[in-house]
Amino acid sequence: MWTKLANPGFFMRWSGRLLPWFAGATVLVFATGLYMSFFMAPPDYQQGETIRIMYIHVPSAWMALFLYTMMSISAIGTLVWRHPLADVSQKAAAPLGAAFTLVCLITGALWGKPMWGTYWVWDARLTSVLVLFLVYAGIMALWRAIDDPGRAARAVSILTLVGALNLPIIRFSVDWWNTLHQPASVFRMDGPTIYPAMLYPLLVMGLAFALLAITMHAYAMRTELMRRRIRTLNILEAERLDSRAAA
Amino acid sequence: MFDQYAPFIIGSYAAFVAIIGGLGLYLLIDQRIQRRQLAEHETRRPQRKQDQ
Repeated sequence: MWTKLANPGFFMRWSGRLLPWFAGATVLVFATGLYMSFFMAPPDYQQGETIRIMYIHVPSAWMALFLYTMMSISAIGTLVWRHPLADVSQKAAAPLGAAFTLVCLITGALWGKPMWGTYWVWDARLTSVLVLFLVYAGIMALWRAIDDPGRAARAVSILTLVGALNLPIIRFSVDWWNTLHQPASVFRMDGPTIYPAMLYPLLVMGLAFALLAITMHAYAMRTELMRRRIRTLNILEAERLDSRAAA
Repeated sequence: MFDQYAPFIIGSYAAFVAIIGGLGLYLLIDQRIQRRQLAEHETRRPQRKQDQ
């Protein structure tokens, strides 16, 4: 089964069929989530209307971590099994992860100013998320620095796995250190502590962000496969011209 | 609608639209370029016997 799924042709065929459905679902779930966030969710008793920022800040943070986790799994797929789509997936996910991390940082700063009185503070959660953004930027730079996709994939995979050490730090920073950022309130061992009228819009927005990330990721993977096909055709053409000149 | 916090709330959603929308636009343009280049290659490529 893995061999069949590892086939780029199979991926191109199925992603081409499924992408329009995913794009449609993303639009629908986003519209529902935004309606719930703005018209059904009440303002917070302490934070007032600024709670509306939570509906994009928190799902952005989830996607930043989700995409990095996926990249780490793909990195193992590249280094251990040499799965032909693993490095394509890694390369396509990096800009997306960086974009969601940047959204998380900016919306966090814009939420922090009215609530904490400052846009930024060097606390463990904020700093570790900034480090995640820098790791994403480093990974993107490394992809560009090495011309050969195979060599680039191996180097990037190692960097990705080293960067994965930051994931538990981000997750548990609010428990391990005394931070200005609040502790986890959705994914907790004893269940969510958010009022259901705010939790449900947040979960719907989380689903919308996940659908958006999956759609954009599959689309970017298709583009990367096309880029590699062009590279192969260019090499074949150069070899053909070389052999003709030699003869 | 959002009392004195309007600039922060609107700014957050605007940042989201600008960053993710910008990336989406880049992905669309990039794929269009790759498609065009691939189509050019396919027309330039010498035909194999089985294609004729």
